[in-house]
Amino acid sequence: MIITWSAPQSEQSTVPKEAHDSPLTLHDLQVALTTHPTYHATFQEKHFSTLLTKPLMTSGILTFTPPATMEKHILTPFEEIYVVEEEQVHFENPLKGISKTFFLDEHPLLQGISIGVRSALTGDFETLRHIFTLKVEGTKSQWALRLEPLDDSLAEVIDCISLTGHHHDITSINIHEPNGDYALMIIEKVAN
Amino acid sequence: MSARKWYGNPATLWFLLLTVLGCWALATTRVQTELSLLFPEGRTSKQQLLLNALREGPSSRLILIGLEGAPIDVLTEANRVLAANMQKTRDFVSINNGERANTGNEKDQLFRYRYLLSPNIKKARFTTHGLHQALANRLHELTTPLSSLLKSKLPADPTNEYWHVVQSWMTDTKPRIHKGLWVTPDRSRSLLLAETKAAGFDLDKQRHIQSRIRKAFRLTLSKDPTFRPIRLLLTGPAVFAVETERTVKTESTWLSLIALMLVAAFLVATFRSPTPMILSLVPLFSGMVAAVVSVNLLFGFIHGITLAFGATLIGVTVDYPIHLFSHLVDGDSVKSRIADIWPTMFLGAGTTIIGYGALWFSGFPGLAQLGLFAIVGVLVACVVTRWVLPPLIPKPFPTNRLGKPAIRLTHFFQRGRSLFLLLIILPVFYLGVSTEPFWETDIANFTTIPREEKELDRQLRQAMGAPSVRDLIVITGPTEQDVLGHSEALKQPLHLLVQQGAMEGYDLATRYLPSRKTQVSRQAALPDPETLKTHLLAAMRGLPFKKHLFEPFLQDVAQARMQDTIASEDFQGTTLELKLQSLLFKDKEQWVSVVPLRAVKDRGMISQWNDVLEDPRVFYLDLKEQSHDIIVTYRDEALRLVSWGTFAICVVLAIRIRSLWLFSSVLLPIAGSLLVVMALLHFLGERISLFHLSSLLLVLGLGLDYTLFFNRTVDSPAQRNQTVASILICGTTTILVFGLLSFSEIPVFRAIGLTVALGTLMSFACSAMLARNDVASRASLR
Repeated sequence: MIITWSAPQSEQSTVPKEAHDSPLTLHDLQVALTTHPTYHATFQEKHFSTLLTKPLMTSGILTFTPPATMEKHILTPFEEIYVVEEEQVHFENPLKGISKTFFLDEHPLLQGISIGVRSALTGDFETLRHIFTLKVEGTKSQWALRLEPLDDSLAEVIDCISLTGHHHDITSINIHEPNGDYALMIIEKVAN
Repeated sequence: MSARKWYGNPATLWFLLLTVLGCWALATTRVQTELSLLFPEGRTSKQQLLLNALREGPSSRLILIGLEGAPIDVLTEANRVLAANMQKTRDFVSINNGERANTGNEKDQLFRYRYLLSPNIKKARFTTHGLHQALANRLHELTTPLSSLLKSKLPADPTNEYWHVVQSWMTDTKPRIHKGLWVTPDRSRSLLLAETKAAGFDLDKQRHIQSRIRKAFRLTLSKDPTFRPIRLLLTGPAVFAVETERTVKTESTWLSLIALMLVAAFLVATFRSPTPMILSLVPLFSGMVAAVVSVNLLFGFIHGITLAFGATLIGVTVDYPIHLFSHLVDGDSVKSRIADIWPTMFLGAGTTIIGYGALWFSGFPGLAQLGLFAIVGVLVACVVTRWVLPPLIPKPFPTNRLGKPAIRLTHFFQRGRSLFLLLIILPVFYLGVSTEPFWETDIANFTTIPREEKELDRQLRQAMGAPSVRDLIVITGPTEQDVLGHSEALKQPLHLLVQQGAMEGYDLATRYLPSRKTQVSRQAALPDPETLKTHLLAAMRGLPFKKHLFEPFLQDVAQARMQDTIASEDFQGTTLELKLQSLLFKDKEQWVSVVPLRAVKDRGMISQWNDVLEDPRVFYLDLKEQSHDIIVTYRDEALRLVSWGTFAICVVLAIRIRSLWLFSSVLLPIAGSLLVVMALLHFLGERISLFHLSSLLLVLGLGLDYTLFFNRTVDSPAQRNQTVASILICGTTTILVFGLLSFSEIPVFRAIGLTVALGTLMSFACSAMLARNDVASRASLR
């Protein structure tokens, strides 16, 4: 059975006022995120690169189906689809006619991001702690989770992943690479 | 004896000579176990190539190593330590566990040569339009997490040549990676691939290397308590070869010990004295030593299989002293007895020698060695029984107590004489109607490697992306460049074969190392620095790249235009060295490029293409078919020689016996027993191979011996009893030895054991059936 999340507004109203402002612990956040929901949202991503004079923009749809299927469907400026399922990735670029399936561990950056975001979405902090050091700040209504790679090989491609959120919703994902490049993704959930 | 001087005694002299020969044989004999030495120098160039590949190919030097039994993180750690420990032994050309593939050096080298190696280098790629398209693509890629590793190379390589090189080199089955090291897809094992410096067939070295790997593994285990449950898995051709050798050695040691004990116990019980048993060994050992020495002298080495097989063949020479002992009666002189049975014994031995003499003419070193071994062994054993043994026999003679049972047994068989015709008809009928394959043609069935080990090898191979190949295209030529150029020309037609569905893919050496000509033409496609700069600036218009970002690109292209071309030596010490060596090597005076074909579906289409090509330097090789051909050639050679041997035996017998009736009563039982044995083997599911055929030659010799003795002219019923008893004793010892051999795990041993044990049984039965029981009339016939 799939539990569908309600819209953030209605959710907010059911949360007691005191809880909003008290400082958040990792445990609180884990409890908040452990509901294993289906997730359907739009995103806008800005890519900042030291090689470029201005950022690149992409946008599209993010979908998460528990327990481990994530889809990033880029719609503009070109269509591109990533489906991460367990340890496999299916990649499609209809324009170039590319459609291929490969394993996550062939692409360390994608692997780090996928495991980080997926584990955060499901509240699987156990897995997260194996790969990253975790730091949480803020309150339930406005939190930030910072993931820093433990492993040297992962640290070669990811400096840190910062997630911000609102209760059990993730509102942004910021990925910093060691070379100074970073990508900021703003997520807006779609009510369904 | 006291009256004679010691040096006048043939026995003493013989023992002196034997001791000297024995010591010399021990000191000089080289026993080889390499299978390919048994084969002729390849009847066709295809076979020769296959044999060479088996013998010396780089793949024969690979040892595949797996670690299992602990969580994958622990296995990976242990793998790193093991690789470091193994590195210290200096036994290996390379040790690969995935880690080396990521080392900077190799990547740097690929990067440096990218403009010579990339298949995409064409003039159009460096025009304004081409560059603009490349830059637009790079811009797009900056937004995907898939190209993060290429980002750092972007300023020097905007056209992505490095990526194209890596991409074109990627095998379709590359190993999975966990924390930088190879693992099986299910992550239950961590993997290493080691290439030994020693050749795969150098079993002494390989054995030491493997024990050093095990030592390095034990050292690894002691390093960390979490490593303790880890198990080491080793496979690969050299590992199998060493294991096979060990199995053969252990099995043959055990089997010969047990056989010796059984035969000894039987002989001691029969003669109520250990003397005959001990003295029977004199001719046998004499024959053995003489055989080993002569083979070693003539061939320069003796093959392990010749030694093992030959020893079992001349093992039957214990029959000669047994015949002698069985005929001894108190009050008789040994001299007169041996003189009495000598003609029959000599005829039996002589025909056996003639039979094996046929093998001696074989062009196959294996069969020729076996022939020589048997001829010398049988001849010496026979002569020793005649002239050396008699003076050694003490008085009073030990006598056997099998006379009466032997006669009863003979009478039992003789009552079935009328059924003899059935023994000819039934096997012929059965073999005629049976639809099961009769001949053994699969070389895999000769190996002793257990099924599970073969499966493990397959699994590790697949996980490491080194699947064993069956189909190859071979390109030969006088020089390396010639072969490379030739294989570049084959790329199109091979691609067409893939498109037509004949196979799924192929792996050309030129994929990794283009010919010098191609490399130079790629250099020529690179524009001069000024032109390139102009094109680049125009191409960058409208794209948000920083202004001087691509300076490194301009420098590198300018450099690549002047660069020396890359050659196979430049791959030394890289992970590609091994790959390239297996695809491109020098074989004697010519260069050979091997093109492994992947997932071949239509062999007919490929060989048809090969035929139409009509290029003698390009040929398609189906390894399975080739090894099948070798077996068939070898078997047919054996069959031909065995037939000639049989014919020669018949001629000699006919001349010696000069009586059609006697002649047929000697040959009929043998024909019957051979037919029944063939049918029985087939019935038991055995497929007839070279080893069965050679064993049949032994059965033929034994059978002749039995019928000759059964038909021997005797003076009295008592003497006849002795003769029949001697045949029974000989037969029993042979069945004991070979019956034991037929329980062996080793297919070759089982083939020999089963054939000879059944053959001996049938020879005795058939000879007894057709033997004449009328002693008095026989005696009067003389």
